[in-house]
Amino acid sequence: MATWVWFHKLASPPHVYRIAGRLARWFAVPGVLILILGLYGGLITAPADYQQGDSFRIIYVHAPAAWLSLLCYATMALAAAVGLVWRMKVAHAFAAATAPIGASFALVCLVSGSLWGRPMWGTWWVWDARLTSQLVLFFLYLGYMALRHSFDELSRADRASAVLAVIGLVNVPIIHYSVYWWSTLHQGSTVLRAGGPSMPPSMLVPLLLCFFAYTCCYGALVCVRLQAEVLNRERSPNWLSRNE
Amino acid sequence: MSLAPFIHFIQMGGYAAYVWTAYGLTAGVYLWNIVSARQSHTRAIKRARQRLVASAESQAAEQP
Repeated sequence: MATWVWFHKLASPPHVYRIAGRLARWFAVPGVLILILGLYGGLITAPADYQQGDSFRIIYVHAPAAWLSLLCYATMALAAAVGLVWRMKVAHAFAAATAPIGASFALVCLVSGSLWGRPMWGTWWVWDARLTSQLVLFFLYLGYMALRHSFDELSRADRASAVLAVIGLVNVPIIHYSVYWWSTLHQGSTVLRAGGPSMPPSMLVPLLLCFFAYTCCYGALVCVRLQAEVLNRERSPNWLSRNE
Repeated sequence: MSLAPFIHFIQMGGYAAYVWTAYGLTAGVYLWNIVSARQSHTRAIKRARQRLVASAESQAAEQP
């Protein structure tokens, strides 16, 4: 019963607008502080890798960006599916708010990976499974946003883009398992692997901090964007505070 | 005070161009995300206020 009340409240734009405003602050402060701590650990306290030297420090911006690009897509597709099934406008607003954030971090992942690949693999890019499927993810984000902008009517834009988001979800496990299913230049998972992480704690702890910080920063950013999306969908938002 | 440790840090074992470009790009994307999210929220508030004023005016005009 309580779950249904909570679910119904989530469909209420003023409620979501208020909660998102509060949550943004709660995510932003720890996000920024932990990010500083994680990057300090990654750049200064973590030792250089015995094979890759200091170039391995790119992992502290590359791997969390990859994680975030996948997390954003999964949450975007889930919200889009909820919007499709229950015709919940706020869910579509959440999906629309997530897309630009996910796209930007997919780009960070691709470019930082390329910058890491050049000194280590001797090439900026190869058309292997991991890199190509990540590029497909970036294009899925762009396609989702382009599709939304191609409709004048918001409800049609919501439905069409939601279908694309849900179909594109199939790419998320492909990206994760690509390094196991196909022969690839990209290394296997460093953290999420059988037998535990393959890094010593001095390298692993800053990486985990960065993962957590990126996730918090996503929380803060999506809350602010969600507020904008919710407001844009309201014909007459009488509930908007005078102090905003 | 010696600058050697700082210069050593900046050089990143010879990978400075790759490492700092990756970090610079990340900082830029974070900055873009913050500015863009805030701008879209501010714009949405402005538009919502305009709609509220317009609907109040049209209601006032309808009243005899």
